[in-house]
Amino acid sequence: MKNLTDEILNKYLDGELTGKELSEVEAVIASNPDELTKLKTHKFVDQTLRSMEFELAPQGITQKIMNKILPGLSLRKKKSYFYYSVLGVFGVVITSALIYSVKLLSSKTSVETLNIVDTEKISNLIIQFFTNFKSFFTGDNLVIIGLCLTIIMLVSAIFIHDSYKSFKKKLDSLTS
Amino acid sequence: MKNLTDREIIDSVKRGNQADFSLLIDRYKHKAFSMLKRMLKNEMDAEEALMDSFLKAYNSLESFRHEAKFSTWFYRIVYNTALTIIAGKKRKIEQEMSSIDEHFELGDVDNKIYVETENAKQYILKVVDELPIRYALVILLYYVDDMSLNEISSVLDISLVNAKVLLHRSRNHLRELLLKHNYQEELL
Repeated sequence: MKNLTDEILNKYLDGELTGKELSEVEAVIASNPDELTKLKTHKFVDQTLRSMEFELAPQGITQKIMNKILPGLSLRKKKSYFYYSVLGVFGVVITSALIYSVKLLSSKTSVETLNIVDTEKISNLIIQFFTNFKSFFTGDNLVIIGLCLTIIMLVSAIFIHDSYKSFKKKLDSLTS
Repeated sequence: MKNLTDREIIDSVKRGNQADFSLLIDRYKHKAFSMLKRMLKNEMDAEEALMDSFLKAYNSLESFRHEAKFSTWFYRIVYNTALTIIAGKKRKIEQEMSSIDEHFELGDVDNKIYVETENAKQYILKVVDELPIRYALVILLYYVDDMSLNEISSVLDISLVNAKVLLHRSRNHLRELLLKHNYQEELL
């Protein structure tokens, strides 16, 4: 071997030289500085390429891809939060209305009834309570209560419809 | 958290844990993006191709039988997705996909890079960016992705011999450029 060919240089980098070839390479570079330079330059190319880094993918790409793969999952979660919050608001409204109505009724009762132990007076009190309770459901109060009940029924209907659609979709995927 | 293998993640996704696919995305997104950016030369196109590649991989996961490594299979999808995107530019495809036997010359581009870079390492890395696509991809897959020539030949759909020729020819050319610009004084 007089000089280092491209084939020999690449075999050297890839660790594919036989023992004999390796000895010949060592002899060549010992006697020929230009060939030594060639070998060192070839090694430098390899080392530089090993230091190459990859470019970073854009931020948030994983979430973007997962949103395309599982759109239904993220959408269902959002819907649940919406429905629960709507229910929660109306629950609070209705509870407040009930508390208010009870307070209203108990304020109409005379102070004396709080101290009564007599059975007759207790039954009179109960009758009075239901009479006042019945009178509560008139006029504006009835409108408000009716509205609340309507909205609750509407939200429930949407819930039931959505659940039915999910169930049907699951059933279709199982049978297909 | 236990470092799951690709196979374990894929089996989990196939069992219905679709969210586990995000683990594969996180594992391969950077290297796939590097490959796409090198092929498409444009960040927006590369991002879109990256999303397409992962979606294709997800949709084809049922048919993946672990006959090859997931990385090899996936990078094949990435490569083909990029080719599809640039398929309209027929003249460019023909240029880039030129015969393995043809040698390439950088000409004025090489001189421009030499003037703009400060040292041998910078020069080499800039030149790699200007290599024809298949040469650059072989370098990227071999050195950055640590793939074997066998795997690279599967990804690029070329023979093992051709993959080896591309790698060796790239190294030889880069060496000759360094010697041409007398960088050996800096190296020794």
